[in-house]
Amino acid sequence: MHIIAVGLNHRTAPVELRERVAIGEDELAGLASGLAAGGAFAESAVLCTCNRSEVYGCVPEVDAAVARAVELLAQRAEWPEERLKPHLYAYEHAEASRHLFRVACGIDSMVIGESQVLGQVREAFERAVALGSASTVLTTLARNALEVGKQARTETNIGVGRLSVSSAAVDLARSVLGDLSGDRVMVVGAGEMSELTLTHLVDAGVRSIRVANRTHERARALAERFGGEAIAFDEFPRRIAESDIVITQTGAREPLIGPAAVREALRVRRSRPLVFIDIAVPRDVDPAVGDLANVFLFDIDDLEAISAHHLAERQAEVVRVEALISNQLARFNRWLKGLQAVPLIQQLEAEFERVRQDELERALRRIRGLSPEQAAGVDQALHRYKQKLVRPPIEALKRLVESDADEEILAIFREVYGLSARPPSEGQPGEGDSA
Amino acid sequence: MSADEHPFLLAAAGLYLLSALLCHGRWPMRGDRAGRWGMAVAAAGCGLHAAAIALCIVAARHWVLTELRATLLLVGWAIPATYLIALRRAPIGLATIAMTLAAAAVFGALAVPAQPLGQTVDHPWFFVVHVTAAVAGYAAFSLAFCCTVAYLVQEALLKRKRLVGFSQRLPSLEAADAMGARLAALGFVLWTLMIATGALLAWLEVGEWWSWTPKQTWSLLTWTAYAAYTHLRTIGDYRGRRTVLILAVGFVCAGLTYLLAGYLGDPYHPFHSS
Repeated sequence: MHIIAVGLNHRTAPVELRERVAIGEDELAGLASGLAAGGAFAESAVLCTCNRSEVYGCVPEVDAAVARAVELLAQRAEWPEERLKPHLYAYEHAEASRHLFRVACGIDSMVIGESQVLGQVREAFERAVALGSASTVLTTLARNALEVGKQARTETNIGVGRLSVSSAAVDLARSVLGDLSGDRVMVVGAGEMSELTLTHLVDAGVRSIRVANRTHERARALAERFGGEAIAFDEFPRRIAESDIVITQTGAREPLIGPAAVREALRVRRSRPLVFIDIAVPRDVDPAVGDLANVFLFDIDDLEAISAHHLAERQAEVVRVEALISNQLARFNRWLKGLQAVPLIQQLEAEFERVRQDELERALRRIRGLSPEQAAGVDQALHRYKQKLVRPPIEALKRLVESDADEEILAIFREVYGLSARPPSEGQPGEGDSA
Repeated sequence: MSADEHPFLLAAAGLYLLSALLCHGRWPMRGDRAGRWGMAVAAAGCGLHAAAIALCIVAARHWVLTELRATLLLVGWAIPATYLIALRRAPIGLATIAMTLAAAAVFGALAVPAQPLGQTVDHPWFFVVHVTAAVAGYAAFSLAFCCTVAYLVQEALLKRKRLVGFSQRLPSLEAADAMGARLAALGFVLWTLMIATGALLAWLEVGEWWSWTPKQTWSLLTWTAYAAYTHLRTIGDYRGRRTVLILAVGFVCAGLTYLLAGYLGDPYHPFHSS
């Protein structure tokens, strides 16, 4: 059995194509049965987020399974296979597992280190289990992926520090004002960025909102959206004192807020710290305002520097995450190898049991007139004999598998004990395939 | 007092410094994990420190330790102990400041020579309350001072646009201010208790409530500074840098009460017993 991953993501395919391939929840069952048809996939799971559509599988034959997956994805996209193929990637064996681990850790994401993908991986495999398409191998693979995903976020800084400029503004407001739930914000100039920043501030708990804009209608619309109050544009300088955070984004050519107005506001506020977030270019707040005590003025450059710093920090952490992934992969591969030994052990035990039964029958046929107790005694003796013979090779097999035995050694093992490469009962989960 | 406790104290001070380094979060570890280790290391230091104090008490055959070295050890222990109990959930950068102060107190104690104990008193229970309130008050003021330092450092970092790194591990200005105020209020209550029991003790022992000795005068000044701070902050509703600086002034007064007054020759609080 082999693990494969086939799909496309934001790096290999443009958004139009990703939209076409995107697999809805209601289509999962159909896709799963399509994959399983003819035994191409023993197990399958589909991971579909806005940046990727991927099919994971535990398959008896890699090439056939990949071909099946590509065929079904092309069908889904209603797109010729030849034109889809250049956008697809197919990983097999350890590389497929590694790919899922990287996805779960967020280092394959567009926004590196984002944590949403972890939940998406969990859901995808839970759905596959619910559909009955994923069992032992893929659920264990998913469990390992979730483990390393969590580990990456707790043990490295891959998810630390927010990346968007508007969330950086919220972090800065927090370093001054702490918990923002009781704080008051005033937006001067209802631009796109100021709206985005306001959204983040509201998420952080800000409840008291005022909006001033040159066109009053726009101020009213924005204020209504957040349950705030629209104020007349020329009224805003007088309202600075009542605000803890002032966001400015107007198209003014000259600064609108100078040190005199802010000094007056501070007097009224009894020096309570005041945060200005000036997103406008050219700036709306005179830089001299930032020199006043208890005033904290941040402009667009400050915000961009923070998000650039966080991005660089996350990128530097990728190496550590890759190390965690390699460790987890080694653990998972040991488990997978161990799984190969299971059918071999079963075969070996069955073979020894068969010989025992043969010899028991022959003995009972030859030695006539045995009482039931005597017959049972012969049976037990043969049983103990079998057990003593079969135990050492089983122990040896377990040791070999744990110490990364390759297929060749397992083949020799089969040869020595006269076991066939195909186990007697077809279709057992995790059956060994020496091909 | 013997020197049995020296190795314990050196180890404790070393652990406090290591904890401060870990909580700073750059080296030898980064992120939340560094903070957790920092707290664990501080707890280990606090344990060794307690053992050293126990050895001092055994060696002195006396429950109440009053001379400079022993009180420095007690205050130096109360700082991390209170931190670990009350402030362990505070942003981890604050621990860097608190543990550095704790280490400084222990190194200070190691630097001053041990003194024989001062005079004995006829009313030991008042004396115990007096000394305990003083030690706890110093510790509360010290931690409030740590919040002041955190505030000033955070302010400087934000003003200089050093917006990532240590700034993110320090409490926000508002949080540092609020924590400092709570600790100052606690210290203020303890300090009031200390002055009250001190006056009572003086009346019982020498028949005079108040005699303007250096220690008494400075402790009253300290009390006034913290009273002014609390007053401005609660009734006046003032905030910001200047209010926080009053807290620092209060700590300087407390420090002078502690050291200067003793060396100025206070009859009731001698560091050099003759």
